[in-house]
Amino acid sequence: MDPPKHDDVTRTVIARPGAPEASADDDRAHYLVVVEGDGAGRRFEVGGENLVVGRTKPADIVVSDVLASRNHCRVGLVMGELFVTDLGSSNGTYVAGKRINKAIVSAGERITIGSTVLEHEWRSKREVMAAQATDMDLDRAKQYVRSLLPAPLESGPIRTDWVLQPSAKLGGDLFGYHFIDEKTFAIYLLDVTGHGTGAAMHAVSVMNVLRQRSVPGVDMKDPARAAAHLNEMFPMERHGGMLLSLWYGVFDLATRNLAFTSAGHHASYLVDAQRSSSSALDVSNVLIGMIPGYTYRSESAQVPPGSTLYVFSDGVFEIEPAGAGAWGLDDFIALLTAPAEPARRESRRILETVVARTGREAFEDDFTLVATALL
Amino acid sequence: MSISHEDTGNLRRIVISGRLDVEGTDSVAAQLVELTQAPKKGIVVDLSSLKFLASIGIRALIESAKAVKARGGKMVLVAKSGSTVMMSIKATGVDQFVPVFGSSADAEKAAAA
Repeated sequence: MDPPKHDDVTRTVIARPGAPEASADDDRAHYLVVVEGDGAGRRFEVGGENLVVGRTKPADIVVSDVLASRNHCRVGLVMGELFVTDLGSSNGTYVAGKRINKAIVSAGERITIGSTVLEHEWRSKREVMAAQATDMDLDRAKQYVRSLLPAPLESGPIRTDWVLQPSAKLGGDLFGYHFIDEKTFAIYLLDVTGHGTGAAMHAVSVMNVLRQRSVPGVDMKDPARAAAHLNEMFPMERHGGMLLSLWYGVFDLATRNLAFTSAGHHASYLVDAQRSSSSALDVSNVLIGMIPGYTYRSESAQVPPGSTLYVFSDGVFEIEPAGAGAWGLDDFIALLTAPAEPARRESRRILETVVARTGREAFEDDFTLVATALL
Repeated sequence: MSISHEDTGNLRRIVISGRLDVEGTDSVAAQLVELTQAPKKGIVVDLSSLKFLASIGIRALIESAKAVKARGGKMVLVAKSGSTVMMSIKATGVDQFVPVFGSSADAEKAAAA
């Protein structure tokens, strides 16, 4: 192993990831999570106090590992960076595979002590608390998901209107939209496999990546690149087997070009101003998290003024009607070109029509639809 | 919703029928993952009499296929073309990872190859 070099330290300072715009709701904290070894899944917050990692008490973080020393290393924050210092351990402390005496650990990097691996996570406290409370009442999780949803846009060249009606079991749907810059609008909808708070909180983690307007090394205006980035970050093997489908579109207001990708998600639909026809915006790619290194493809469409983009989850068309009859994707698509009703918001018109047509008040899956007028 | 299986030589055929949705899916999904762990070379998962495939089922199929691949076996699916199940398989890209056949004869041939 190489001896520690001082320049390793300066290198990692620059590589601090995320670097988001400061925002009032940024409540992220530093955590060390045991990802391999005894007690995997345990999570420790690293705050103002230094913490000693070692084999036995009085170490603050006890790792039951015969290769760990009694006082193995110390972790703490220096100028907002997570620092680790080896305390003369017998078997050494490794960061990102290199033996160190002292090093900065960037978010996402791992500290290895014997056969125990600790990952540095820099995450929202709210998110972590939500994820930890496994017995958390589903209603509270629903409220939390709801609090993350964007306000409808009611003025300007882009108007949005949406509905997200969570199922009793909470289906793992989430969506969002924002302006990447003055002339570029991004919109996305994702659906995590499975149900419950675990699926919902996984959706939250993914959305927190998509919400960043800039991600170092990733052009978020390139849908295929954004999907590939998520695929790298959230492989199923490291996230409890969870996969997710995603539809992600980027609209250029100047050229009216809509670039989009679909990762294991069905098509979104574009309906013209006269509501005479709808066109499917589809690309065939695999679910996020399924195949490491998969090359996602994107497509683009020219959007005539006054068109409406409908992005939705499978919960709007995979519904078993209460009585006789059937309800499927074709029935749902036909609904999109039906006349708008000035008395009802578009999302209400569609939700209420689906309820009437299927005879179902409560759905088995989340019912999520975002209607975006591109004026 | 039910799951059954039969073994012929080095081939295991698993049949899932009914509606693979939220209620009861967790247990069938777990059984599927377990059944595919048999040390057989070929695994055929027949979904042709399945009415609906929820996302938890998709996940179980992928987990199973990965495990079978990892031990050098081959897993294939049977689904009716044009069915809702086939639609879900295509939309999620499962068919890009696990070969899908319209008939069980073709599927068994491919799994044994």
